[in-house]
Amino acid sequence: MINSSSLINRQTLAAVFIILLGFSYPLFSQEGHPLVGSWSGDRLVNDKNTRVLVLLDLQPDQEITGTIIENGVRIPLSDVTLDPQDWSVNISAVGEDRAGNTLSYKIQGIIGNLGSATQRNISGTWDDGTDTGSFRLQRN
Amino acid sequence: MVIRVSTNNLLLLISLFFFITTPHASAQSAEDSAPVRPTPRLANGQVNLGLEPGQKGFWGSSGRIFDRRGRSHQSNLLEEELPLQPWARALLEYRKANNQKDDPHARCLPGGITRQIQTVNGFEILQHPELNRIYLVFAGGPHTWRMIHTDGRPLPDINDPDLIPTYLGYSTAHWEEDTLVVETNGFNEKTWFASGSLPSTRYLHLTERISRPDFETLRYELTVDDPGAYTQTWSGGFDVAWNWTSWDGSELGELHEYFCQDNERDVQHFLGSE
Repeated sequence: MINSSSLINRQTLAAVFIILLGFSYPLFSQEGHPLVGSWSGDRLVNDKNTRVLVLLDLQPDQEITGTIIENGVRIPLSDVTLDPQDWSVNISAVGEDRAGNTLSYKIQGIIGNLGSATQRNISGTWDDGTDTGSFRLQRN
Repeated sequence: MVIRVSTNNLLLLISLFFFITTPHASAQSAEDSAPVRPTPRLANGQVNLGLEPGQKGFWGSSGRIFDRRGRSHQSNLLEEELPLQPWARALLEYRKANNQKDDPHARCLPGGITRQIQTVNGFEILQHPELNRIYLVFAGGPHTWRMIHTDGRPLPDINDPDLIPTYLGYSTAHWEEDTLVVETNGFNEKTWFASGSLPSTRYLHLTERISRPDFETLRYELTVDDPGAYTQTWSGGFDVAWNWTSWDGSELGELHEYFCQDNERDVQHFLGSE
């Protein structure tokens, strides 16, 4: 028999496992491609603050792939572009929340403190398909 | 106009002062005019890339893998000819515009494998054919050493999730006649792998060809294969000089003790455009 507390524990464990799975990939790149790596921070959309983890990786053909992890859910990135002229970033992501509802994000930002391996950040606007807010991510 | 004088540069200036103003400089000139000493060899016939018994000295004073100044090879690409991916070109320009203030090596982190060879304070090469290992011992930076395997082991798979990427990567080498060919991958992207602010990614695969055409010359040729940061494979190299005297001008001809971490105060004074 599964009671509610063991269900929560399983969900929590699953979320932790998913996050650890993301960290297990070799996403270092402190001095390589400026986008690559693990980023964490908050998005503030419609007065709701959500903690997010974003994992970005560079493929040999220059495609940037990755995942957004929030509320224990992985949302794959469908498109990521970086303009090295001004270090602007555009990210699109489509996935589902726990209830099976579609999530569609459009994220636009600028890399700040580009040269710093420890203080690099991305900030800008986060559109969740309904509302637009702000976000700030710090490189882990 | 901002002038950055790091500990390494200051040490180099002091060394140059001693080198020019002491009698050892004239002794060095006498060495220069002497007949070229032949390439030394180990008992097994292998070229000895390091110190011979009864001799003194160490390797130091190198060039760049691009550009053609100093000891850099004349066949090197110029900076504007480097086949950088657009983001890597922009990052290189950013680093230059910011006086390389974010250089991890200046924060006493290990330099990349070529950067270590280019660092002032010199290095030694210790060959152990009986152990199937070659060690490079670097006096500059954070006092790093590097191990190269010569037992024929393959390079690791960089996509292996169990691989732990490292500062200096994983090196395996073999001899092609008198040239040591070293293949290295598995880098953690935490270094600038060579002097000149060059970006690289985890796809970086370096091939070093190291030879010793005469006693006082180490020839270093590097092929850079990194589709993450470069549009195509490219090569460059430089020669490294044998140093008969220590950096302080003394006759010992030995690496001296230098720890970048000791009383490091430079970083807080680094300035860039932002």
